[in-house]
Amino acid sequence: MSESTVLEFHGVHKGFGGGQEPIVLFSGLDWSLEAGRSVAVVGESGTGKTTLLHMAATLERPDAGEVLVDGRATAHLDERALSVLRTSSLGLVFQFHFLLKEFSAVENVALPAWLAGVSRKAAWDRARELVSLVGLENRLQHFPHQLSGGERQRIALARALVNDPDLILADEPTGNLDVRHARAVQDLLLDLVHRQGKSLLLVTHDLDFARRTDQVLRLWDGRLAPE
Amino acid sequence: MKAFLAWRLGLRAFWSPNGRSSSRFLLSSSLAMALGLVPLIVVLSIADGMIDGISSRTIETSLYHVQLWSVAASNPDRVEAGRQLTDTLRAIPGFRSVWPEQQGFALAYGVGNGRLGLSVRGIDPLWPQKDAGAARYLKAKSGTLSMAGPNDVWLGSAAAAKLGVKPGDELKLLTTRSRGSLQVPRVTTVRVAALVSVGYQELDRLWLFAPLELTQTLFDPRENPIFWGVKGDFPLEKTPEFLSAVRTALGFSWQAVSWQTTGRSQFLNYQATRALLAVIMALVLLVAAVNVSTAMVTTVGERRRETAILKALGASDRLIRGQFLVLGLGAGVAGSVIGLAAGMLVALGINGLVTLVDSLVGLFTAGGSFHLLDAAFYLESIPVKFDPVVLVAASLGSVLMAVVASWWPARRAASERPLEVLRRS
Repeated sequence: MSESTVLEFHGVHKGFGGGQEPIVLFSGLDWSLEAGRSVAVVGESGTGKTTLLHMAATLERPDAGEVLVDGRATAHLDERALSVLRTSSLGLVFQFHFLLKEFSAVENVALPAWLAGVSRKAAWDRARELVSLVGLENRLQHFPHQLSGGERQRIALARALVNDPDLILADEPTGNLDVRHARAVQDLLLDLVHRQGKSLLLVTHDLDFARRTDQVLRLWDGRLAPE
Repeated sequence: MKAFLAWRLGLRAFWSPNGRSSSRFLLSSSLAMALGLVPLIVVLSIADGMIDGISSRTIETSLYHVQLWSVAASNPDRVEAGRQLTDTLRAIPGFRSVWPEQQGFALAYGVGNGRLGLSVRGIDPLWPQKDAGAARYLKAKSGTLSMAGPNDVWLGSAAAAKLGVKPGDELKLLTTRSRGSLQVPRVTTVRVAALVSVGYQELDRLWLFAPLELTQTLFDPRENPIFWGVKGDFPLEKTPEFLSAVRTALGFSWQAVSWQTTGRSQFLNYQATRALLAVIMALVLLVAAVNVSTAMVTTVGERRRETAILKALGASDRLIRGQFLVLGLGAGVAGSVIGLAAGMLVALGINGLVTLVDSLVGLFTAGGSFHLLDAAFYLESIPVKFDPVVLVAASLGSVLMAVVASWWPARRAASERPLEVLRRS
């Protein structure tokens, strides 16, 4: 493992369906993401972009091979260890905001910090800081249903950063937003990633958005190739 | 920290402005638990009240706390023995008084054609006036509680109703005494001075109280010896200690037995009935817990998305499980508080409720004399006793059942695979 990589795929195999026509998405994928870089993965629907991201997020296990997050092999980690890894090393942003409806904006942001065992006050302070950073300091106590789509996604971004993870994984983070809000969220995501020195793995269909990252890779036939 | 988070997640699900599904769970589950707890509280409170009422009446008016039987002489001098016993027992903490009594059986004939087997109790006529316990329960329903004439007796009110006699009427008592191998019958005419009641018809239809001087002529002292009833002022659970002190004080010339021995079968019967009723009512609570489990399964289903988000963010299985157990605990606590309060209210108003039901059903029944409970088998009014230990145990049991009922759905939620749910979202 290189000292400067935050994510590595070694000989990863992944397929779906064990019946007569199994779908093989990856058969021996080798790829790594260097620290501090932002990479966008584009490709046709069904090529396995989201599956790649989910394996990186440890939400899905490869059929064979190894995924290393922050240098840690994940294949043999149990659910508890994976939970710890997710809270400490990864920030997830999905196409849908996935905020908890019972919690206010600042509480939603603080939640992963609480899950990581950070003290209430420290988590709260950090969450307030991040909510301010995404420009929603006047929406701290608002619940998700009181926020616009763009605002919710900005809160989701803040939540992804609350534990100060090395790697941000974003799956179509602006896919549900109109052009104006999408642009604002893209600006914010890329700015935060660059300013805070994070690594970003972005999965998107939006080529314009993808081109704003350090590198664009196309996923095709289970391989990642420069666009 | 994680425990705090489980509480926060679980409790927030109840009270958040958007937590409608969980609020519904709380409402339905706590009501189910409350409805299950109400009959248990009512039954236990009434059973305890009944047992307490019947026990205290029986002990104060019939069994005494301790009965003393002379081993040395079958018919010791009553006055002298009474004085000696009082002097000896006075030093024992809780001792109140000691009274002589002779019991026998007689067939009674009333003025009409009524006849009835009676337990004849020869007593000191001053007993119901001077002994606080007897004075509390043994009341004259009509006539006067005195035995002015040598053949004046007091008759249980239910027995009097059966014999068709009232105060002032004469009553014939057929008794027998042994003479050699023969049983010689004897008829004695007595005058009913009072109709008495202890408020428990089971006892009121059994008794005839007569002066001890009279019963000594009716019954052979060798077959129906006089015994002494010792009364005390102490909690009933302290009876063994009191009995032990009495035995130590009197030595081997007296045989002492407590109400726990003389009324053993009766009290065991009460306790067994109470336990049986409690088990039946606990089954109702169990059904309520099953309802909680079902409602929790629904809630877990409704909150799959939230569960998946939490797991994706790094929540452990334990935290997810804990969150739903907090929901179950909340339902249990709310249900117990509501059920306990409602159960106590129903128990306190049970006499009014029974009367109301009697009146309502009576409107639609021939003669209008419907009785939900036959007073012959109960006290005149249904007593209620709230035992804090029983109430706390029932409430805690109810909370525990709600938590246990939530365990399986909570475990299922914890094993949820977040990705499948997030994909569908």
